[in-house]
Amino acid sequence: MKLLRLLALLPAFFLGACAMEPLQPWDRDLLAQDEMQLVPHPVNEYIAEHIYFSKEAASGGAGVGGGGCGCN
Amino acid sequence: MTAITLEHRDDYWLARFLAMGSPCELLVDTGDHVLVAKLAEIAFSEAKRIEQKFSRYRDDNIVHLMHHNHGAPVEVDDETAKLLDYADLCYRLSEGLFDITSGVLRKVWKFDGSDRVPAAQDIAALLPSIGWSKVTWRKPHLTLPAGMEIDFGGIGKEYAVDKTAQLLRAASNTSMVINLGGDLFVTGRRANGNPWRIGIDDPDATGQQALAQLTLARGGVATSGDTRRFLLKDNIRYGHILNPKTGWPVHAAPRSVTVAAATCVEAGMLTTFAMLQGENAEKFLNDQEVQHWIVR
Amino acid sequence: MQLTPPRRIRDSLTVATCSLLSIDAAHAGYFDYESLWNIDTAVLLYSEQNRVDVVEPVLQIKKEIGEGEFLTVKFVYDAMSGATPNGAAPSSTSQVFTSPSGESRYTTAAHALPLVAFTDARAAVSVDWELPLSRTLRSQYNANFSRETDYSSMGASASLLWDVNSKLTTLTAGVAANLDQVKPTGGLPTELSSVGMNVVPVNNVNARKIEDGGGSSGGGSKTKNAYDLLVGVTQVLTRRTLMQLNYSYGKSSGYLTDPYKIVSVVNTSGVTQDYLHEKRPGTRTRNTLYWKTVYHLPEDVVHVSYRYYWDDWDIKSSTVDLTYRLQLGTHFYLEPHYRYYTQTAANFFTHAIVGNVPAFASADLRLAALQSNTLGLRFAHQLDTDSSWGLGVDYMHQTGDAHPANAVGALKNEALFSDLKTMSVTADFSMKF
Repeated sequence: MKLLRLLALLPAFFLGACAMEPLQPWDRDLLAQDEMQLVPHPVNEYIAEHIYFSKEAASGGAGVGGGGCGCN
Repeated sequence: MTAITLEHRDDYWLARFLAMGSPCELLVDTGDHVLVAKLAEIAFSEAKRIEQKFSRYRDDNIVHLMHHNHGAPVEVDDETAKLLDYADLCYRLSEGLFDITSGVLRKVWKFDGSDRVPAAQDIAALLPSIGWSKVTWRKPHLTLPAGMEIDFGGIGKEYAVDKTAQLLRAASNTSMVINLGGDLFVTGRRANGNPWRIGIDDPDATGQQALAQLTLARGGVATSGDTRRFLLKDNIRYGHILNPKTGWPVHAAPRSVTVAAATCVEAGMLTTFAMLQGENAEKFLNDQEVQHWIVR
Repeated sequence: MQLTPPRRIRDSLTVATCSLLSIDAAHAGYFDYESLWNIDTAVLLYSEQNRVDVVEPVLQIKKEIGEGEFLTVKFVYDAMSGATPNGAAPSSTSQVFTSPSGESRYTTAAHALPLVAFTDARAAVSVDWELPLSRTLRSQYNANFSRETDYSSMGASASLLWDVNSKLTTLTAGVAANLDQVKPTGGLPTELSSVGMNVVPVNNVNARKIEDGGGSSGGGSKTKNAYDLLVGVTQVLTRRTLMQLNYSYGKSSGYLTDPYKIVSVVNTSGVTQDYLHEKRPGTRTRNTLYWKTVYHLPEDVVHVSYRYYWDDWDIKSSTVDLTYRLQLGTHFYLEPHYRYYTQTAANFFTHAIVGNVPAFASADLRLAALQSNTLGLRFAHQLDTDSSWGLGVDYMHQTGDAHPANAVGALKNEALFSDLKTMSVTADFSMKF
């Protein structure tokens, strides 16, 4: 099943990460930047997710909770 | 204890002492002078400890051991190792302009306001003894070729400020400012919710008028440049920031650079890097998007 | 040091300084020179072709109230107006419907997808509290509340974030609960009851005149509740790469039906005979697998994510989202954006009921099999360290099967799925002071 194959692949990425050489502190420079954050523009992201939520059957994924509305 | 003097100001206590060759101050936002005495003692001890550990004038510390081991590896402690790692990073980030082995240049450069600029061959003779890339640093072992020196002067004072601040914050939640010769750290907001007002020194009116006022609730401030340390010959002003690759002062370096950042070490390194940029100091600090003041 | 093009070394320096001083890297950027307030605001202008228009301003205020402790308050206001499908299928003749309030009638032309006009306003407020519990453990709490004329919602959530592996890995776990109340204008209709039928020939055209008389319980409200669980891991893979993988599980129960939507009942020739109020199951169990990667190129940054969703209504969906941040010098950047979405239909979805009335039925096109493509571009200007603004435009095209194989009789000739085209313009502004 497509889903099982997908699930099998993903842990490999994370295991692979642990086996790599640990990052030196000064290598975290890029990660500290705003643009490297998982959600760089929270308000824009909120607006976009709200639009998709009201037009589609699926929702969520990135976080838990959030408000409801009568739009779906 | 007589090395420390305590004064009561309007709404804070001021402790003064001498360390690292500079006048030092500890401002404490409190009315409790017993607390101030205790904190001042902590600040004084830590500043002296670091001064003595990394001073090149002593014969009983790690620096002396490094310089007299005849090219054999020296095992350094954790704190020294961290400083060496940091110096190594700064060497790489500055593409070799920041170099803690460049201290030997003081043998020929004496910035006393006179016109005694050293001879080119005297400078050239020292260049083989300069270059961090010639040092073998494999934590925790440092191997210095004979004739080379490690000078922590470029990091030491700012490091002492931040370490002292850490000890002080661990000892008390009171808001404090630790100022070692112009490099300082503010530990937090004052009890009334206000920040501290820091005056940025105006090199043309040192001790009198401030160039600017910075309201700081938490963070470090460092200043590079000392208007008294220069040479003047044939109408050319030689500032005291030297380029380790050439042995000569950085061309068109500002007279003074002040930076405010999250820690004093970071602020200090940014001022040093800015000075090393010479005429591009303003552009460099603008690109780094950090609060700064430059005086030419 | 050559600094052309300009290179920010400050980030490397900050991080290295933290190592030197054994400081928590989470506080690396904590430099307080009176900058405690963080304001983010945006306004959305949204328009669907021939359907709904929305204006939505959002204001978010964040303040540091302790060491690493933050309080965030968000205000949202939604002004919506326009027309939305009422669920009935297009017909070869014109159709007349009664508005939800029961006070007026509206007509849909032959072959057109029936749409009902509406106007509504929604206000929402959300409060977030981020509290560090230890050097490696953070907690986040949220409470939110929203209200519109016929709907109100309240919810709360709590999450824990645990940094391990020298902070290269963050494990996340969260729970959320929601309680919503539906109070439809015109009262709660009895599910699957007839909307009311009087067959009256009008102008020699065999039109149906509908009266909203049947089966309404008049007034009243219903509730639905939901709880959600999330577990996730965020991993720093390389200096340039960050990845997140989340699994969420959610369950809703209560009144999940849309009280305004109806379903056409047709005979075997595809001619509309009646309209029934829709009915959805009383529970819904959802699963989501979400994977995101952020990758930093020399100057630019790429954000790409994939989400797989499946629930017990037999809906399965895939979403691919890609944003590329194209840096233009130090102060400007462009963000082109593409999103692809596809979903299968809910097992009780039908364009029209033929024959026996099933246990559950809905003709809400949002539950149909559909795909959508969104293309967007945002332009942003970093004014200085503390403030920036941006302007983005997004175009979404949603398509579905207008002529499904199971359409009966005359419905074969109608476009049962109407394409949706939307345009969004979002202007945003951010400031610290």
